Amino acid sequence: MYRSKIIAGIEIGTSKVSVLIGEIAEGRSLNIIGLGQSSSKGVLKGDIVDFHEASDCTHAAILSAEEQAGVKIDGVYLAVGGSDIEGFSSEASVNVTSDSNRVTNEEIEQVSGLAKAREIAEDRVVIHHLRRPYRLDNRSVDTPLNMEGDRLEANYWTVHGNARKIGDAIHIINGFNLHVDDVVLGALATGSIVTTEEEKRMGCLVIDIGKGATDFAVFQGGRCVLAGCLPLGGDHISNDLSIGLRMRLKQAESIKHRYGSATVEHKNKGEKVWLNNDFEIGDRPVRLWSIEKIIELRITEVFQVVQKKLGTYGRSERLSGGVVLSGGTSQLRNIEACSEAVFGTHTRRGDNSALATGELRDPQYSVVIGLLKYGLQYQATGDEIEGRQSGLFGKLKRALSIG
Amino acid sequence: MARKKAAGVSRKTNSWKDIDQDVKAKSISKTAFKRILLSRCRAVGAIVGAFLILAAALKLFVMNEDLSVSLSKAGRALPIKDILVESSALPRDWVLEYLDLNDRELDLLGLDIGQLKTKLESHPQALSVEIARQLPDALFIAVNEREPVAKALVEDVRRGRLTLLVDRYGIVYEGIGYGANQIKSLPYLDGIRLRRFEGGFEPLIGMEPVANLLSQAREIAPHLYQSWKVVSLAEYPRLIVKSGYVREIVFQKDESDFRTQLSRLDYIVDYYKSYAYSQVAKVDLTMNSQVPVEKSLVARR
Repeated sequence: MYRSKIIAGIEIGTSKVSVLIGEIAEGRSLNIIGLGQSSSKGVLKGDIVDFHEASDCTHAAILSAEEQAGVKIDGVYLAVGGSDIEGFSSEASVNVTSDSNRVTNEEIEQVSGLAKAREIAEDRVVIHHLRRPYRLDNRSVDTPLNMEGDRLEANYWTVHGNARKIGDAIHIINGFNLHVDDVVLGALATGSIVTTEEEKRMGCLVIDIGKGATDFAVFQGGRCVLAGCLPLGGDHISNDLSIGLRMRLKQAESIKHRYGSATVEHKNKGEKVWLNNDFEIGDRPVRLWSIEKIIELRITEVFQVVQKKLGTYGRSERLSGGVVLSGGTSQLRNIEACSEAVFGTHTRRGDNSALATGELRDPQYSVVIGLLKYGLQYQATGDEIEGRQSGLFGKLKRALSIG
Repeated sequence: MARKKAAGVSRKTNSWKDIDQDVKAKSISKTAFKRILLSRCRAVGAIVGAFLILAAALKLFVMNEDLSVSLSKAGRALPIKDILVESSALPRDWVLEYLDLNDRELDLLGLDIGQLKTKLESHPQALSVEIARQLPDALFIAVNEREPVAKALVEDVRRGRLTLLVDRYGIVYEGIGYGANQIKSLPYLDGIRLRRFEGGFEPLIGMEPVANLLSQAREIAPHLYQSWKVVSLAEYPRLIVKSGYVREIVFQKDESDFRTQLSRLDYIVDYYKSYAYSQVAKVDLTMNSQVPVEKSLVARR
């Protein structure tokens, strides 16, 4: 008999910490049963800069979610991002040696192992090996087993991050007496929620623009083939508005939400809006064109940097499924038009309606919902979490093993 | 140093999974500490609870054992002084002998009452048995015995001629403790076939109507019954009674009609006695209101 498992998706973001608790019943179905949130502290551009502050706000969010759900979390799926996340492509090839020239399992394992064996710096840890389609005699194939050919090539996109930074995020979770079952790049989690299977098959780009960082992931042939992270986000727009229009950061943040647009809508440069809109001393008019122009430039820059990171994967002909935007900053008006201008393909805002209802449909929850979906898939494969004991004894041991 | 300890990462695979997830006390926030404390308290509470339940169960077990021992000791301290036997025919001595309760020091609580009851009930004369301890020092035995309605003569190879008793259910047994008059008053059974079975005899079929006839005769016409010597089942379902005045009375096995048949018999006997007949050869009561009477050759005195 399969007992239900309680898992949590946790995103320690720059603006907020989100914790979503799901119950996996029978290893197949996912019920979302608790949500906890807290304002983020000690996190800058997706990186943890104050461990204790970040711990406090993360633990508060977990506790809130647990109280709402009325259960204890069994395992955690943690979203990672931040400025240090990088990726590289690694390839390997083997000759098909069998008499019939048919690819065997051993050859697939061998070429995969070789492709993943590329060394990385000692202070880096691998987060994901994203497999791209195999190539068999220059033909692109998804599953080469038993296919005829002479030369089999494997190509992986390896996502890696700074060991200390990822370790810090994991240890924050461990500090709540919870075990991290898996670490998932935010864009990967988001992509699994906001895109359709059709889009992933045709080729699409998912961009999750958060407050301090932007995650991106490219899906082709139904799988993620490239993913990464930029230390750019909504904060940078506010920062530029603050500097360019000489206002406090809080005012810039407010004006961005009230009048922000990713393209210049108001061509009349004389049109102005009030900074605070409270007619108090210190309130002053600001040119709307300037606000929109600064935002347009910044957002365009974000998209251009993403496009540069994508290389050939960023070409419009390889993104026929379009671009899907997510994250808090994706709520800016006209951001789709800005994206279309850069990527040359249609763009839409993603939503979570496939898995969530009500409040959770907001794109800000895409990552945590995606983490739960990731956890569901992980459970469905029946993989055991290494080094963990299940059952009453395991629970008892975990309950008494802290300190 | 940095090379050695880069966030506890093993250099072997460089995977995030190699990051040590052991929690150091320093890294626990106040919120987490409270949660852990609560969780530990629950775990410890559960363990303590389990131990308490176990200890209570153990204590109960030990107490139960102690109680048994103390009761047992009390029984030994006050051995059985009296054995009360309540029975209709079975003599007390025979019961004690049969149950092997004589000539030994008996422990009231050490006796296996169930075994004694089973043993005594295995005797065919005992219908049911009640055995009870009467604290502090007496044992009570009540035997509900079978009531004999007739007797049968059998020839035993070793013991010669034996008189056996038969109850209303056809159970055949050697009567123990009955008075000679009681046995003498019972009519003999004739026309029966006794079959041996497990050290005794198979129950006789058709005894219930006979018992009903005899009991009604005893009740309604005791002056007739006292001269009944033999009841024959040779022509069953016709019941033939051999008596002193009427040498052969034939009853039909209709239990609801015994009273009528007995009344007719009484009338006939009175009638013939009034005419100074010393004996009647046969009265057949099986033909309802038509009662053939066969007079004896030495009819009148």
